[in-house]
Amino acid sequence: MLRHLLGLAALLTAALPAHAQSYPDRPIRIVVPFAAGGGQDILLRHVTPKLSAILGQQVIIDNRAGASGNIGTSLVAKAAPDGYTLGLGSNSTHAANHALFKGLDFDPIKGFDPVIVLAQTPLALVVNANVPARTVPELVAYVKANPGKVNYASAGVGSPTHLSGVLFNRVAGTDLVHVPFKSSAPALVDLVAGRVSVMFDTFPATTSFVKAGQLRQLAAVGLARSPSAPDLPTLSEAGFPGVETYFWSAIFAPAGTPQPILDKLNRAFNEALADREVTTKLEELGYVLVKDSKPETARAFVAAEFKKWTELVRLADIQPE
Amino acid sequence: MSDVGTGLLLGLSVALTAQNLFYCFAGAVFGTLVGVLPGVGPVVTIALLLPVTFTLEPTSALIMLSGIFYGAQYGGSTTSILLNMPGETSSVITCLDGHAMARQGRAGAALGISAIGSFFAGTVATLVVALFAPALTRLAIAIGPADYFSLMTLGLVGAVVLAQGSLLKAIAMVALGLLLGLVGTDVNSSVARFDFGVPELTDGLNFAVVAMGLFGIGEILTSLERNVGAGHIAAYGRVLPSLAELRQSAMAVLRGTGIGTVLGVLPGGGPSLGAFASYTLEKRLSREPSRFGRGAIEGVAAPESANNAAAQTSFIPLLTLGIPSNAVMALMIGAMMIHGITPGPQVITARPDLFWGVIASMWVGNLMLLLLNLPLIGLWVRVLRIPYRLLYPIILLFSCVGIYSLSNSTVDVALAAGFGVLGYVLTKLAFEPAPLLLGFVLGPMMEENLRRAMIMSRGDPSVFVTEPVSAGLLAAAAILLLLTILPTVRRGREVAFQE
Amino acid sequence: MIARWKGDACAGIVLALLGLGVIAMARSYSIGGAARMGPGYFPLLLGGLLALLGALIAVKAYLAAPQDVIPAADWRALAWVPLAILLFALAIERFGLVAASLVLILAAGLASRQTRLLELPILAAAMAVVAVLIFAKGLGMPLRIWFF
Repeated sequence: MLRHLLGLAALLTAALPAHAQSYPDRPIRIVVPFAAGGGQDILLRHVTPKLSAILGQQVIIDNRAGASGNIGTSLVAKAAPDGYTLGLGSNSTHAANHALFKGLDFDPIKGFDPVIVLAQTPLALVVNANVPARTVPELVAYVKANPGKVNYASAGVGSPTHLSGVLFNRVAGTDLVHVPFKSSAPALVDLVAGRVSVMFDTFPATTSFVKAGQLRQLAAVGLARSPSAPDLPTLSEAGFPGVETYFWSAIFAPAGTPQPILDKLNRAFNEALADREVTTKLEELGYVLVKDSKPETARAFVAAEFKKWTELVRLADIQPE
Repeated sequence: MSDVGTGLLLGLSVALTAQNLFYCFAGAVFGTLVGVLPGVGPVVTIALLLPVTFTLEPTSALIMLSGIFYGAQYGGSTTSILLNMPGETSSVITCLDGHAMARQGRAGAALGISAIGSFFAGTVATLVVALFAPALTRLAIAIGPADYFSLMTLGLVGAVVLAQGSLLKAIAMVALGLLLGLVGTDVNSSVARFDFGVPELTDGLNFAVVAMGLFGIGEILTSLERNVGAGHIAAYGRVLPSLAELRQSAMAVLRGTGIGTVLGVLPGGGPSLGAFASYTLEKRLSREPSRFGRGAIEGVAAPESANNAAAQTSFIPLLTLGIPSNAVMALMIGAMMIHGITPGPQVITARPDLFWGVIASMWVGNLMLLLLNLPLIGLWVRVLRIPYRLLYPIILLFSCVGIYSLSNSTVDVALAAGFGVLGYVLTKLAFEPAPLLLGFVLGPMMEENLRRAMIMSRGDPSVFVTEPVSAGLLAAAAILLLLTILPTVRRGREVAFQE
Repeated sequence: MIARWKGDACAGIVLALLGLGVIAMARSYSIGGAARMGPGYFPLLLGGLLALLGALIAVKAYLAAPQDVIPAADWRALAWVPLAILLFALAIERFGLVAASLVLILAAGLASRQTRLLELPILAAAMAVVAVLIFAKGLGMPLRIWFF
């Protein structure tokens, strides 16, 4: 039996180069391990129509939500490495989840060949408009003047919104109390109501409340300023370096996908992302697209992120379950 | 006021264009047809249709999606009444008296009152949304975790009240439901609880799986045992409710509308909580509470009005804050974002055509559904004429495909079989599945808010009585519990004395 | 057929045991304190409540001893319906919607004493077609249709 399988595998491998030239000759499926209509799903849905046109084959989105993205991601890891099953991955599925959950049946680094990093979406440090702080140092002073009294909300334990707070507390020497929520929406309700004072959340989610005068953004969390709020300093510029957390989205193929296919996919994705219409719409929604991401740089990026989030989860003292 | 007037006029001018009327109608028809498939609810339907709405204008897309939402809700009530198959949380209560009425050959009356009550409630709630959306938004924001916890407590007491038989058994069922609700990843610690190593369980049990198993499949097992014969239901009466039945339901519709309108605003569990609460209220106010669960038409009219009113007002947080109050609304946000509209508090001023267009189309959609559904009742009732030996395998097939489609999970299908057997056993032993289901729905929210309130109060439980809303709700729960327990205790004493 | 009080007593005991099981499992999660309850806190309370209620139901059944009986179970339905659903679950991904529909209807049909053996295959074939038309074609669900 085993010999047969090996023989079959050899046959398939031998057939692959020819395959890569004609690739793709049937529809490509991209597994999104999150629900339809969510932030990650929407990003991809803006890209796929263009991508289908470029590749000359239909690109189908298959939402396989569940278990923080682990179910869909495991599906991709087990799929045939032929370029016809790809997966969307994020800082949760390919970085934090491994530290958060015990016994995952896929290896986020060895199990995949990254195709491209699509976007990095920075977070903003936002406070309720009634918090008497207009800058980050003022906020730190306010929290220190009210020890143990100021809450911060998160969109879930282990998410960037939570771990940003853990890092911030460490860097600024504050004691913000973590109040976890199921997702960003209910957390924002309590932030707007003032039951929690601080939150780290994305620009798209918070900007409309800032315009309505209900919330105030104090800083961009991450490496650079956000294009949607160019006047807002980064946390480093405000004097608190070392909090560099953001959401990211990348496309992964199962490990062992032939290099020519990876390159072809990478070029197609880059071309789709460079399309003016796609870019404009996505930037309006607050995504920060990554320019010219290559499979090699994507691999290095994911490895670095994996290390970073594993350490962060340890720092937050979350026990893996 | 004049602002609202101009707004509504603008809205009507948007909603009544030929194009938007078409999408509203298409959504309503499609939603109804899909809603009558057991298990295929609005969430699945909207997720499937998202790509279709891609090509539409954003306002048309939202109008169509809203149409699907109410349509599916109507369709869900239809299966609850005819087949005891609640596709959605909010139509569980409809099963209790709705299906009892169907078994007595009064399916037409039940479906009729459901359509009429829903239309009335939808009309009132749409007006409320137009007039008071900003004020109700403040209510949605003002309700904190302590208040939610107390509201859930009141809901659970209500679950005990709506039970027929033994109080002790009802409370045990609530506790069992609460425990089933705990399966899955804990929000406060990301620990997966009671998942027995099954990855599919880390997201918790799906409501539709539990409800369709306990009610739908359980009902099939019970019917097979009773060996119900050809025609399943001997005779079916009139297609519409009689004048007497209408009079009987009038107050129930009014009260259901009121309760649903208010509770729908609250993010999390609006329509279902509204349906449960209005049923409990009707049962308490009724002179013969024993009729409930045995085909009381008020027991259909009240929750159906409440869940439709709540379905309308659950749009308020979405439209005024960009905050989704349930899974369907979350998909609507997705649909808005796909069209490049960032949902949030400034949608009213930035896109008044969209805001008022959607509101106006709510009413148009409800009218279409009434016109569509009243004639359909005759058709639906005929489903019950199919000999049961042919009907039940068909129901099983549709349910299984529906459940599988929820998240492409075979584990869900297998679980539904298990809950079917559980539903049968519970009915056999005179334990009622309805309180269990309520516990299952309310449990996770109750725990989440209890723990959040305690984190915010730094471990001081007095917040539950010092927050005025929470204190009021807890007092109401205590009074309701006393009113329910005292008569039984007294009766129990009398029985004991007689012996 | 068994006496009602025996049924109630058994149910009470099962619920009580379930409650105890939940307590045992909840103890493996951290319990925490009032200010930051752990994932085991609420289950522990509920497990205790269920154990207590189960015991009360059992005791009450024994004391009150209702005289009526619970009618005998229909083992035929109880075996075939769940089995049919499980077969569907096993077949849907491996062999596709058509095969899964056929096997579900054929197995489910055996649950009723009224089923006519000639009618059943026709119903199964017809419903397989209907299922494909509604779910795969009409709703466009990503379902495998055939087993190849």
